[in-house]
This record gives sequence, C-alpha cells and structure tokens, in this order.
Amino acid sequence: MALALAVAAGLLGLVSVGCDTGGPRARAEAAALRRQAETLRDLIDAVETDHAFSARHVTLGIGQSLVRDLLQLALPIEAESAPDLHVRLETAEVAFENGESRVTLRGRVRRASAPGTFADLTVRGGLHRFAVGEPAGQVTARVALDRLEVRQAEAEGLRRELVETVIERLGQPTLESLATQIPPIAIPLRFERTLALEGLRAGAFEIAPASLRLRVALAHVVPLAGRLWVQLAVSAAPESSAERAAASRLQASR
Amino acid sequence: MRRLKRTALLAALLFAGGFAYARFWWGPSPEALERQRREVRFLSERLEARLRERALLRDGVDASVLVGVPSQVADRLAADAAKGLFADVKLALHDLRFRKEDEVQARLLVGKRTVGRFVLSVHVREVTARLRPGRPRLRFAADRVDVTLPVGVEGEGRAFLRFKWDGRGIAGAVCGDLDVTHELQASVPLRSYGLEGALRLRVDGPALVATPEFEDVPLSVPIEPSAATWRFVEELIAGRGALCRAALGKAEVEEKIKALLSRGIPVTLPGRLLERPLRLPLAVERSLTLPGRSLHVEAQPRDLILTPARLWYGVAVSLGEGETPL
Repeated sequence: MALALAVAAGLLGLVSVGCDTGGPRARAEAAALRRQAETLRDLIDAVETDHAFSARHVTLGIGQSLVRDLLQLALPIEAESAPDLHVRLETAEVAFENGESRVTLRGRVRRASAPGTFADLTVRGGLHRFAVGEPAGQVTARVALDRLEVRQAEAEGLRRELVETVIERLGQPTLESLATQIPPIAIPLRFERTLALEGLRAGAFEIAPASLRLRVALAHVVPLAGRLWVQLAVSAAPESSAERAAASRLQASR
Repeated sequence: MRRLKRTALLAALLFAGGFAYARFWWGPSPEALERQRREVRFLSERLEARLRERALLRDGVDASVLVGVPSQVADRLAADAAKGLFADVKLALHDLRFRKEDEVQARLLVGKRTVGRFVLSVHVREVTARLRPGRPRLRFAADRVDVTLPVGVEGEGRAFLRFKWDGRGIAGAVCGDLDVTHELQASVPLRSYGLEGALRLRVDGPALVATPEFEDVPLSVPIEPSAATWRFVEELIAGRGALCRAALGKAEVEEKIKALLSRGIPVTLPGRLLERPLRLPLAVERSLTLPGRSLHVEAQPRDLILTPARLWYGVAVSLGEGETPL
C-alpha cells in the first residue's frame, strides 16, 4: 500500500510538469535556443549602443556557400579511434544564422576489422578563433567540433552494438583530432598592409615616393542571414623609410 | 504512525525526483520549445532590422563577398592618405625674370617735370615651396566620390635685384645715375587653394580602384623680400641729398618692388600629378594554396553602390583547380 502511494506520488511529479516533454533531443535544442537568444540579445545591445556595426568599421559580408566551399577543400579528414573505429568525414555544410556559425560534417565510421560494418556519422560544430592574419592580411577562422550523431548503421545484427560503441568511444579526443586536421579557413581576401605611391615629377612639381601603413584589427564577427559579417577597424599612418624598405623586401619575396 | 511518516517521506522524495526528472532531464514540452523558437525568430528579425537601420547592411544575392565602407571611414582614410602620401610635394622654380620700368614725374617750381627713369629687374634664381594638403572632404555620389582638397603653398627663395636710376634735369644733376644690385632672400608666404576633383570608382577584377580626376589648377606663388631688402632700399635713399631723396621718394622704390613680387609667379598645378589610380587595399586573392594543391580564385565584380553614408561593392568568388605545385 505504501509503495503504491509512493509510486503514485512520483508519477504525480512527472504529470505536474507535463507528460509531453521531449527527451534529450528537445533538451539539447532548448539549450541551443537559449544560447542563441542570449547571443542575439547581446548583439542587439551592441548594435544599439554603437559598439558593433558602427560607422567606424569596414564591413565584410562573407557568404556561407563560399565558406562551405573552402571548408570542403579540407575534406576528407580521417581519424582512427581506439581500438577498432575508423572515422572519415567527407562533406561539409555551413550555416550562418541567428548569431551562430554552424558547421556540419558528414561521413562514416567503420570498424577497421570489418570495413563492411559502418555507421553514417554527423559531426557538428562551429567557427571560432577569427583573426586577421599577419602578414598576409587574410581573415581566418578555425573549425571547432563539439558533438556527433550516428544516423544509420549498416551491418546485420551489429547495428545496435555498433551505434552504442560509436557513441561511447568517439568522444572529445576524436572530435579534437578531427578538428586539428582542418586547416584554418582562410577567406581569399587580402588586406594590403601598405598603400604606396611612386614618386613623380610633373612640370615644376615633384612628389616624393610615399607609403601608408594600414592597421587592420578585427572588431566583431556576426553570423547572420546567411553571411558572416566581419567588422574591421582600419587605420592608417605614414610609413617611415625603414618600414618602406622592409615592406618592399617582403613584397619582392612574395 | 512511524510507518506513515516513512511512507510520506518516500512519497515526497519520489514526487521531487519525478518532478526533477521531468523538468531537468526529460526536456521541455513542444509548446515551451515553440515559445523559445519564436523568441529566437523575433530577436533575429529585430537584429536584422537594427543592422539595416544603423549599419545599412545590404545583400547581394550573387556576391559571395560584400564589402561596405562607411563614409566616416573613407573620410578618415582619405585624410590619412592626403597627409601620408602627399605630404612631400615640392615646387621648384628657377631663373624667372621680372622687370618694371617707368618714368618718374614730380611737380617742380616750373611745373610737372620728368625727374628720372627707373628700371627695376628681379631675377628669381630659385624658389622652393611645399604643398601642404589639408583634410579632404568627400561626398559619395553615384559612381564617384567628389573630393575637395584644401592645399597650402609655403616656401622660400633667392633673387637678384637690380635698380637702375637715370636722373633727368635737376634731379639728374643732383643724383646722377644709379645702378645698384642686391641679393635678396625671400619667403613664399602661405597661400591656400581649394582643389576640386573626384575619385572615379570601378571594380577591376578582384579590387576596387579609385582614379582621381582633377583639373589643372592655376596657382600664384607670391614672393616676400626679407627685412634686409627694405633696409637696403632705405639706406640707398637715405645716403643721398635732399633733392635726390625727394626724387627717389617719388619713384616709390619699395612699393614698386612689393607690387612686382606680390603679384606672384603664375604656376599650374597639373591635375595629372594627382591622377594616379589607387587600388583599395582590400582585394580578392587570385589563388589559394593548400597542402599539395593550388586553386585558382575567380572574382567577378557584382555590385558597386554608393549611398551618402556608405559604399558597398560585391564580388562573386568561385574556386577552380589551378596548377598543382611541384
């Protein structure tokens, strides 16, 4: 009698929250939505207070399909995961929405001892560590991978066992090993660090050769509406003759 | 009684456990998730709206890369470029000659008579001046940026001055003829000009190119003799007799020198001095090198839009296989 009462109370606890709650997948989505909402609120605040996207910055809008093509160039990547799993990721998708950059890599995980036994794998992550490279002046980003999903397993009788093994063994070290194989994504845009003007004589006038040194610093990066909006703070200062000579040497070496 | 308490405690624990399981582990309900999704959509739309209002973000469907340069940034960079790239513009003038001659008349006891004739010649051996650009003003319009660039001209020079006096009548008898020379140091006082022109914009392959268009600008470079020159003139006159001083006073030597030199030397600042294409320092790379392979990057200009607040240009970028490096 007492046990029945206790179980009823437990069930009541479940019912009081709602019977139609959605399990781990819904929990993960809710957490992701909370993060997105927080990011968006921060961005709105930054835009409204002129801390981001102000008239002081040069804006680059980089399309997600270009970033996907660049990421695709780094694939396939492979990793061996002890003791018997071989991961190969072959295709990439990139989405820039709601303040988040999402990277999805798809491929397969196989048993090294039985190559016919495999599972389709989806690895998710995002772009991070944005930088303006020195001295090339390119905008670069790294790919971070943070979770994986097994979509489908192929091997009669082994399906469930393989899925469980993959989920259990392909942990953070495997994700990190895969991510380190992806070189930094370099957007093929170059910010020249110097703006030079040759000397010239015209009539009684003569202009001496001169150059400006440009400084480019990353201010903000906002993934939104299918583009990665990169805000750059650009400033210029006259270059000394020593700096000019060094820049010429660098130019010549390229 | 004790048993009842235990049962109640167990029931309470199970209730709390069930609640926690459903609330924190089981996950949110579909309605709660939908509320969160709606909130994210609302915030996302609000952010896009704010960005379109404030940053004037625009989109180009075909452009893989969009570049937006606010007029405030362009103004600042143009000022830095004018200061940094055009800070050392020299003007050098050599061997210029000016001459002024006239008769000098004076009212004497017997009426108005010619008392002498003078020839004032100035041989400007050298004038060196620098152009000092000020802060340019830019105005974005259609496919060009109108530019107003204030320029100051300032410098110094050396000249050889010769004054010949051919006295006539009584003055001639008293003063005789004079032929004096003087090496004068002079300054070129600051004079400002406004250069009007434009930057014509075009997207040339992977880069945005601004070509300055300026008309030739007529300048006038005045010369101002140093104090030593005026002392020389004073001493030249002071050393003569009263009648001679009166005659030379009528010649107004100092004013004549001033008038001759202050008209300025006409010089044309050629527009082509400034008309050199400037490639904006942001361009699409022509190739990408990856481990073991090289890729050709094709860049097609898509859009060039100027609004009073911002310049936008778009480039469609496609990647193709290039030659494999050895």
